[in-house]
Amino acid sequence: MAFHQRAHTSIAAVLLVVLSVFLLGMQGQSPEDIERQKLVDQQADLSKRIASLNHEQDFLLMQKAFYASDSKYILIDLPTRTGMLKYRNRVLRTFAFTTTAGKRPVPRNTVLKVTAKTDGKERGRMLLFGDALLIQSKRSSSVAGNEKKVPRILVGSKDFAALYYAVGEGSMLHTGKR
Amino acid sequence: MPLSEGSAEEQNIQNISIEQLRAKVAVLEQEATRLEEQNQGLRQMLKEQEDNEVYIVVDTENNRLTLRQGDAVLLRAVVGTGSRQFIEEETGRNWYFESPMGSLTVLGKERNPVWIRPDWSYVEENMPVPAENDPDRIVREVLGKYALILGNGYKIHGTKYTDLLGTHFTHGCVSVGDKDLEALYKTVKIGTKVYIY
Repeated sequence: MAFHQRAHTSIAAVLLVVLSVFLLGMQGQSPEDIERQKLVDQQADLSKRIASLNHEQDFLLMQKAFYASDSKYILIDLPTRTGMLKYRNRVLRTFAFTTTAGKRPVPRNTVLKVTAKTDGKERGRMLLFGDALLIQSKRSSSVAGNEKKVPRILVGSKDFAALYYAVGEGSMLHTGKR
Repeated sequence: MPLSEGSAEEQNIQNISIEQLRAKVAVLEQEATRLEEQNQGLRQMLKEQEDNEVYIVVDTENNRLTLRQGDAVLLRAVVGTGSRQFIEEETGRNWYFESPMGSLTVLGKERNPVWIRPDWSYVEENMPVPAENDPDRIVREVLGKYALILGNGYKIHGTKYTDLLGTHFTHGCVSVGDKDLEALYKTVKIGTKVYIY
């Protein structure tokens, strides 16, 4: 019984301290401070929203451009680890991929261009997107030299063969929404 | 040294009047609304370009055909595509057997198609090339029960060499197994787009 009483007293004391601190905090906030804080929060939310809308617009504009162009292109959806090879508004191929745990992640919401297609026994086949990304087959996933630092996307060998021959230097890839 | 603690940004915000903050928020709201309207317009425009048409995709690297409708796959088939072989006649005429790449259209549909043997077929077998209208050129029952005409002599058709499906063995046409060919023939209309890559 005495133990329960002591416990109740301690809880009441803690609550009192918490309430005092809360009330002290409230005392320092004038209506203007409250509005200022609200405006600052609103500003932060709007900035995030604008950034997101800008990303979406980039993607939509890219789609618009590709629907009118004669080039095949690749769309990568990083959250679902899936991609599409597309021509205009048509899906030519869908594929799944994994990424390697590198020092740098695959850039998000970015348009990249195929800068080189490598072949040969020494380097194996790769689709290079500058130093931002490379795509290769899971079967031959070794890299050498500077390419070790480049974020990599690994796809199945059949998917890779299809991608490798379907796109050329200058073909585009978007690492954003599908 | 500032008397109060906090980041430079917080310091700046404290220096901005409430009116200035309100104005800044109003500008951002306008900007967000403008972007939302623009994106809505773009989405609508892209949606208008989407259609629910069926289309054929041929992957010549892996010898696979896919019948699609939007993002949905209606049929997957193992096919044969161009052998990528080169032959040359003594006269210098030559042929490279590759499936035509790019965006094509089904121009016609045939039942019980007849093969009119082209010149290269005779050259390939070291046979004399007959006259253009020679009835010997007409060969029946080698292209399966159906064919989809793609133009320039190219077709999607059946084959007697079903063991070779999945390889590069044709002279450029896309060869399909009987069941898949029937499904394609029944689904596809004249005008259907065919994307070969």
